[in-house]
Amino acid sequence: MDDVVSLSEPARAGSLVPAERLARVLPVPMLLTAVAAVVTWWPCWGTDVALGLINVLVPVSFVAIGIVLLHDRSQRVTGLLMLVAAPCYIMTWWWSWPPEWQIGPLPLASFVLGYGWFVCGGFALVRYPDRGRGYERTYFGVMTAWILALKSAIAVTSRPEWNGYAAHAWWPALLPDRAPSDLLRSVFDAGIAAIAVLLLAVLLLKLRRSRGLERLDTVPVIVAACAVALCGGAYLIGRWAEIPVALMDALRAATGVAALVTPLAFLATVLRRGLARSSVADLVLRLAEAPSVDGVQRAIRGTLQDPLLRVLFWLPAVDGYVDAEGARWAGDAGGRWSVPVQSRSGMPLAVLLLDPTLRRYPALVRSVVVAGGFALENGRLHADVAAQLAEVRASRARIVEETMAERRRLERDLHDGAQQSLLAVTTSLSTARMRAGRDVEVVQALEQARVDLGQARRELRDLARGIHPAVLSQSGLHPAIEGIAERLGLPVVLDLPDQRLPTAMESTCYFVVAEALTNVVKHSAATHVAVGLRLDADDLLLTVADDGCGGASASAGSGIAGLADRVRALGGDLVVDSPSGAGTTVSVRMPCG
Amino acid sequence: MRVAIADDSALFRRGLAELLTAAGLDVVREAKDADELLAYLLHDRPDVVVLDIRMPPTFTDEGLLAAAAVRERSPSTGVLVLSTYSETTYAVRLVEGAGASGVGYLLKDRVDDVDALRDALARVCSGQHVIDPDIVTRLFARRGRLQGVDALSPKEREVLRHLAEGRSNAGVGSALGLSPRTVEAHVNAVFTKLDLTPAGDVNRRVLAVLTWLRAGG
Repeated sequence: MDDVVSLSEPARAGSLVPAERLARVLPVPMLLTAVAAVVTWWPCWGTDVALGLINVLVPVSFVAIGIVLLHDRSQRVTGLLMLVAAPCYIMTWWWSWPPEWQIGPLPLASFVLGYGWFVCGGFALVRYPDRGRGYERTYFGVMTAWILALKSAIAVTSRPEWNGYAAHAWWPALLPDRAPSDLLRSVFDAGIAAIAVLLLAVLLLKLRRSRGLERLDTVPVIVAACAVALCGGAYLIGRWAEIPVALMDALRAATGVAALVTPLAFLATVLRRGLARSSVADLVLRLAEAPSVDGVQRAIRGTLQDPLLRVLFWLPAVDGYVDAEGARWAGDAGGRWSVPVQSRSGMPLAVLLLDPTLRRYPALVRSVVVAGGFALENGRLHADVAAQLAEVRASRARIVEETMAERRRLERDLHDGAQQSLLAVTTSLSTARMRAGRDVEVVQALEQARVDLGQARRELRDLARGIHPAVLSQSGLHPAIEGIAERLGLPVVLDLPDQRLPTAMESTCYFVVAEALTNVVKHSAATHVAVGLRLDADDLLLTVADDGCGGASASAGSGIAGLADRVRALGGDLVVDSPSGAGTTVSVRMPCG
Repeated sequence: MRVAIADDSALFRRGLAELLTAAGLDVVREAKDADELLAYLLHDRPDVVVLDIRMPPTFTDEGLLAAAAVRERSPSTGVLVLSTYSETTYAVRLVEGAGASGVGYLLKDRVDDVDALRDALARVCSGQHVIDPDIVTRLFARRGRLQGVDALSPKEREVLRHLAEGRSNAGVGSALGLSPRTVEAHVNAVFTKLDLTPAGDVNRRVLAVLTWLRAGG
């Protein structure tokens, strides 16, 4: 797997074996092996079916596992070892053949190479899933040398019949001598027993070294290997201690069963890898619920069994990567495997710091990283949209505030300017009327002027109040709405608190009430109206309810629709509930505090 | 009558001073804000002080606060607050805050009627209240739509209106041309029918009546 994962092309060919391919490749070798094993046991099928079955199943399963492992690029040699172990196992049993079968070099091959299944199988176990350390190779080198050397020496110093084979077999019996051959046999057995015990130590060391996903793979295999080592060791010790034949047979059978456990263990780990695929599906579901960097990190740690895994997120604002707590990453991978992830647009998105042993699971890691990458990208998009939305809302609120401030300024200007000027004219007019004396025409003209001026003043006052009632800024909603109620042609019931609210809220509430009451008078033919304001811990609720003809709506372009925008700009909402014939209620809810 | 004026609009101040002078009153001081007026009051006691409600520094309700201060420092001086705003709440606050008598709330519009102005000044000078008829009319119009006012006879309604405008029994009598005893009878009838407790203090009546009128059902 290349070290950069780009979300724009997440899919890659997996390195796990497709099932169809295996289904084509496995049957023939397995069948051949089964035939060979069955033939090998031919003479004994009548007497010992159980052991025969074991002796068929073991090599067949070795061959099957060997072929499966061959397809995994990193496990080729392990696969080959298993393939070699299978015929060796079959050869072990040639000593049980009747003399007519033991022809030529077959007995010798069985004698020397038989133990090969133990060596190859053991080495395969130790190598899986991680190529052995130096001392492991040394160990198996020593074991192989020991077996080959001593077995050759025993062969040379003994006759075939001393080893359980037919006397006429081809045998390099150069110096047949009972004493040295027995001695060599004892030495060989002791050495093998010791080596078997050492194997346990090697395996346990390997177990201690492994962590994370590797440990999950290693455990079943090690359990199998320990079982074989124990049984094999017991068998050897039994032979040395010359225990009864029946017990020996039982031990041999037990070793066979233990050997069967080995391919099962391999199979278990292969299956587990397959199951790891489904754990990615779980991961995706978990990521859907936790799009934060911390959530993604925790989910991926669980799936990859890597508790120290780190997800570092690219933040354009600081032009660098930050971790789940927001601290900037200096760029040091700290001995871990760093996998950069690019977003779909090719920009840096994240860097994952993984346990180096995870390099052995490229397909799984890729799936996990891609899933995490998409979750992070979505999280980033959400955050961007949320930020933009917040900015738009803030800007809208600013515009609304500015508009309202404008209106307050306008009202003040009208008051201080035009209204005062008209009043000044009024006083001058009154003064003139006082000085006009009895001239009727002059008095009449002045009187007319007085009336007209009065009208002008009233209109200007109403206009100013419509733009912004000064009493609202000075004394709050209750007196201001009372002012509307007094001027309305309708009875209005008021239920308003006396406390002051933020200017923007008071203004918006006032104009909603003003517009709503105007509509009541103009359209509803109502006889009663009620205006209520309720404040609780988080919200303000304003209602204007009438008993008129209903059928109103906050359609676009109406005065109430414009106010609905203003209400929304402050984070609230405005609802018009107006069933036909059943009155109208305008409700405003705004967050406060 | 000696009158002092406080208003931050020079234009209006000049015009009002001219008008009052032409009407025969003695304008002793034109102040541009409350502080200047109160400073003047330290060494002179005019009969009436005319205040704008909206003055520096905050341009909100300085006039109302100044009215209370004037009444406190110079109880013999009447206070007439003039305002461009026809808001009931200011009138009520003025009466509530500025003392038991001698305060009035009038719209600046009244400057087009010298007689009404003179009358209002005389009334606050003599210790009565003045509430602008515009406000009372509006309150009546609103309250009239509800029960209560219809229970009164037309004469009683007139009496109630004058009470709302701040007149004492004598003031009602002179406005309607009735004898003091008749006035008293009508006043008691009004209070009984509206279920108001007849306050001993004549000047507190204004508040009681205004409060009743404002209660919108």
